[in-house]
Amino acid sequence: MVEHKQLAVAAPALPVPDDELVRRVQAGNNEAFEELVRRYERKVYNITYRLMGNEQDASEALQDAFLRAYRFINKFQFKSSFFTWLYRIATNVSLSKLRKREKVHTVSLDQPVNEAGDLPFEIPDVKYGPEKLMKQRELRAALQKSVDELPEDYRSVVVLRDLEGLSNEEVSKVLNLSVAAVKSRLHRGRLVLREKLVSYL
Amino acid sequence: MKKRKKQTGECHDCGEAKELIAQYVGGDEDEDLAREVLLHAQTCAECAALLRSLKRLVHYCSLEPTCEMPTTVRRELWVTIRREIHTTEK
Repeated sequence: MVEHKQLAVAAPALPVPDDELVRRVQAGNNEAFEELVRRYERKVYNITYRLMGNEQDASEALQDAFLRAYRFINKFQFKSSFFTWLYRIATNVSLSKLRKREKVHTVSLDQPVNEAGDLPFEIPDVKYGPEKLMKQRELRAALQKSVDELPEDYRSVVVLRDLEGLSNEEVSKVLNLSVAAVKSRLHRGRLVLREKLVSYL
Repeated sequence: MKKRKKQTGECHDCGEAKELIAQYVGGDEDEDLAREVLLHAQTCAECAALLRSLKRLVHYCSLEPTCEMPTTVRRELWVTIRREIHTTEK
């Protein structure tokens, strides 16, 4: 008689939900916080990089964002999703650093600088234009530069909505704005970008 | 929305159209809105250009790859996090 043995196949472990990890951190489990960092470090770096425009400032903002999240995680009340809360911290940290940086910039801008003919980026020569890859690189650099030059209110909305792919509702939660305000800032931000990137569009 | 002058390619009153274009490009899924925007764009060169360029802009943004986090940035992050955790555990 053939004996049928039922093979126990281990189902792949489902990832622990964010909220559960947060509860564990609140109960004193620091490994759970490390898991949250692993889960979101790249996404948060993207936001800080897009907002700050360079690696060093983005790195500082990234560290500050996670430090604040760790220090204040006991205050997290599950009224929003963890990632919304974390993105809000990352955005606020970045914008705060930007304000400080722009103050420093204001001093240097007081010095006489000849801005005449200084275009925000080079307009590609169609006749002798570079290869497609080169154009993509140019566009990417021009896009980041143009985003860097956006006013703060528009920049955060454009970064979260258009570059990070959040929905209008998610952006409104991260930035604590109404959806209507998000849409309005997004449109105005896009119009500014369009002006700057006109030769690519 | 009022009829636009096709021959000049200009709107006398583009304000309303531009608002609608913003809503349309912003992702509001409404068939009436889409119809109105597209119909208007056929009669107004300025709004057609605005619509085209905004759609391209949104498309280019959506193609932007995720920034690669440099190893040094990641290492510094983890040093900071572990130092903080170690401090609070003491």
